[in-house]
Amino acid sequence: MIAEARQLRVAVFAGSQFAVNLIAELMQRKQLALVVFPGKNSQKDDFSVLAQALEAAQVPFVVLRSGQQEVIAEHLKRLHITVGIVATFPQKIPASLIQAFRLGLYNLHAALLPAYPGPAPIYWQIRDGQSESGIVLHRVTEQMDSGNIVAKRLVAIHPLDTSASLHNQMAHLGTQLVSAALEELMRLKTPLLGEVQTRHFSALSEAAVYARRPEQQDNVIRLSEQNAEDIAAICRAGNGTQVPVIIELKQVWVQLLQATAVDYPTFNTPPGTVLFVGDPEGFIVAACGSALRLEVLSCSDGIFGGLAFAERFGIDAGAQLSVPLFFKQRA
Amino acid sequence: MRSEFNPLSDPICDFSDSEAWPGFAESLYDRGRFTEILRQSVTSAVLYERHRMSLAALDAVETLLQPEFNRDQVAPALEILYQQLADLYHQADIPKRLRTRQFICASGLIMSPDHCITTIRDARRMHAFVRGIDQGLRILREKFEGPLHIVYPACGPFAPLLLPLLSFYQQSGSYSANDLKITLIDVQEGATQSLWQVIKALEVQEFIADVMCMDALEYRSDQVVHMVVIEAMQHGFSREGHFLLARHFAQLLDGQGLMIPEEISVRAVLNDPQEELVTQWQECNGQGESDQLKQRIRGKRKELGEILKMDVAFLRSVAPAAGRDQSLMVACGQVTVPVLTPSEGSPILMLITTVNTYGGEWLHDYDSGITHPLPDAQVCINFIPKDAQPGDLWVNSGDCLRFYYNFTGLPGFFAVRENLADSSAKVSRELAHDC
Repeated sequence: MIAEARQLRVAVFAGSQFAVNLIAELMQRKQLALVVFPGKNSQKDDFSVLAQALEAAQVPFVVLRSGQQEVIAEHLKRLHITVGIVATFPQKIPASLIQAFRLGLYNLHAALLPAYPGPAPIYWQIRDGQSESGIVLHRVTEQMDSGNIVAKRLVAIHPLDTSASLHNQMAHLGTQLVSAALEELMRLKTPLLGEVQTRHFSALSEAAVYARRPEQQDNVIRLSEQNAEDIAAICRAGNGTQVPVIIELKQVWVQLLQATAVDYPTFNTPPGTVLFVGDPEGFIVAACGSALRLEVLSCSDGIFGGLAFAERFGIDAGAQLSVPLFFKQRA
Repeated sequence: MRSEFNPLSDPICDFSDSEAWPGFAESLYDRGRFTEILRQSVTSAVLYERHRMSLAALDAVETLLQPEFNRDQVAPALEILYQQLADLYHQADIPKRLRTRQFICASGLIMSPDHCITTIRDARRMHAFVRGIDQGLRILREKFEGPLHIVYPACGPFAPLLLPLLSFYQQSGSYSANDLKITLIDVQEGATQSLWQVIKALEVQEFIADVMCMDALEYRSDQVVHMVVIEAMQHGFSREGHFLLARHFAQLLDGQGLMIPEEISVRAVLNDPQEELVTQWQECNGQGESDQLKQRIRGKRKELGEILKMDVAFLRSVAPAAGRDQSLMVACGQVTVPVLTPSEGSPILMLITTVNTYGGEWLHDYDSGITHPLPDAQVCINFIPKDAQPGDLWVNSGDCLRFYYNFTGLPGFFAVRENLADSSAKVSRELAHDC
C-alpha cells in the first residue's frame, strides 16, 4: 500500500512555515510534485530557504499570481498531479483550480471547524483561553474553510502553549493526517467525501467568529482594561507570531513575552500599580481586578526576566506603570 | 617606638614591652599563642568598630538634642553615623532577596530595607523625632514607676529614631536598661536581621525587650505600652500604612501614654505649579531651600483648610468604613475652591503634612521628605484637561471638595466634589420624577 501511495503526485499550496513539515514528509515519500507559493505573502514569511531545498530536490515550485490560475493548471496537468493539499494559503483558490484535482483538493486547518475559520485560528484559540482544539483536513470549496471534513485529530491546548508551540504540534499532526488521507485516496481511487461540518463542543459554539490575522492593536496590553488571565493569554497567543505583544512601562513600550496571572490581592490599587518586587514572588502588577506577574520582557537593552527587569530599571512596588501625571501641563 | 617589626630577626619581646604590635608575646613560633593573639587582634578590631559606632551615635544625638536645629552640625554627624550603619548593613550578609523585596499589602506600601537605610540622613526629621522622644520620655518618667515600655513598629533596618538615642542614654547614664524596655517590630525579615546587628554594634542589647518580625497590625501586648513611636508615611501622608498602624497602636497605648508623633495635620492648598514645583528649586541652585525661599513660596499659596488632624483621641474614635469596592476609607475635611483671578490661572491642588512629634518639635513643609507637598494633578481647577484621564476631577471656583482617606493598597487622600446646592436640587428633581 505504501508503494502504491508513492504513485500519488501531490501539489502543496504552502502559505507559511506551517507547510514545511508536510512538504518534507511528502518529499521523503517522493509524492511531492509541485509547491505553490502565494503571490501576496501577507505573513511576510521567507520562503527562500524552502525554495533552495526544493531546487536541490528538483521539485518544481511556482507562485500563484492573480489571474494566472491557468499557468498553475498547466503545471498540474503536465506533472500529472491528482491531489492538492492547502496549508495556510492566504489566497482564495479559484474554482477552476479546485476542479483541476482529480482526487480532490484538501485544506489543513488548525481548529475544529466550523469553529475558528480564517487565517489565524491558533492565535485566537489561545487568546480566547480554549483548552481543546484539533487539526482537520477538509475539502476545499469556493467558500473558504467550509468544505466537508475528511479527517480530524483532537488536540489538547496546554495551559502554557504559545502560538509557536501549538503551531508546531498542529503542523506535525497535520502531516500525519495528510499521510493517512493519501493512503485512503490510493485505496479508494476517488475523492474523499467527508462529513458536513458540525459543532463539536458547546464551549466552541460561540466561536464561529472569523479568526482574522491579529493586528498590532490586538497585542497591546492595557492593564486598565484587561484582567490578568486575558493578558497572560494574549502573551501566549502573540508568542511566536510576527505581531509582538507590547506593554507601556513608564512611557516606554517593551515587548512582553510571558506573563502569568497570580493569586495576589490588588488591595484596590489602580491597574498599573506595581504590587510586588521580590524574590521568589517576582514582578507583580495590578491589572483590571487581578494581579499579573510579568515574567519575560524584551526591549532595546535586551531580554530580561521580570525581576531582573524591575531591578535593572529601578521599578519598585508602589510605582505606577502608566503615564505619570506629575507636573505635566494639563491646562 | 618601633616603626617596623621583622618576625624573622627581631627579638622575642614581652607583651608589656611591645609598642609596635601590642598583641605579640613570648614565642612567635608557638602556634597556639599565635592563634590566641590573632583572636585578640580581631576582637579588638570588632570592639574598636563598636566603640566607633557608639561614639558616632553619641556625637550625633548630642547635636540632635540641641534646641536649635543647626544643619551644619547635625548633617555631618548623622552622615558619619549613617556611613557606619550602612557599612554594617552591607557586611551583615543579609540575603539580597530579603534586602530588596518591596510590596503592597493590606495596610500600604512596605518599603524594602535597602530603601529605608537613608532615613537617618533626613536631618530635620531626626531632630524633631529624637527631641520629641527625649522630651516625651521625661514626662513619662514622672508619671510611671518601673521600666517604660516603648514600641516602635515599622522601624526599618536601623530603627533610626530610637537606637542612636538609646546608645546616647547608655553612654551618658541618662537612662539604664531598668528604665526603658524597647520592642522593635518590622514585617521585613531583612530589617530585623539588620536590627540585631545594629543593636549589638551599639551595645544596647539590655534595652531591647524583643525584635519581632511580623505585621505590626497583628501585634498584641500583655505589658503596658507607655510610648509608641511610628513614622510610616510619605509626602501627603500617603502610600505607607501610618494611619492604620497608628490607629491600631492607639488602642494598645496606655491611657496616659504618648504617641510620637503626637499630632499630624494635613491641609489643602493651591499654588501655581510652575512656581511651587519648578522655579523655587531652580532658585535654590541645588543648595537646599532657605527659610526665605520657604516663606516666599508659602506666601504665594492659597490655603484651603485642614482636611485631617490626627492625634490619639481621633485615632481611638475613628472607624474606617468599607466603600462599595470594599476599600477602607474615612471621611475627612471639606474645603471650598476659592474664586481665582485671571492671573492666578489654573493652580494645582497640593496636600501638605505638618508633624508635631512632641511639645514644641515640629516638621513643617519642606523640612523633611515626609512633609514635602504632594500635588494632585488630577484635580483640575477651572480648566478641562487636554488629556482627560480616568480619575480626573473637574472642579470650579465655588465648588466644595470633600476629602476621604483610603486605607487600603496605597493609602492616601482622594477628593470628591460635593456641592450641597447641586445635591439638593438633584434630590428635588428625583422626587418630582417619582411623583
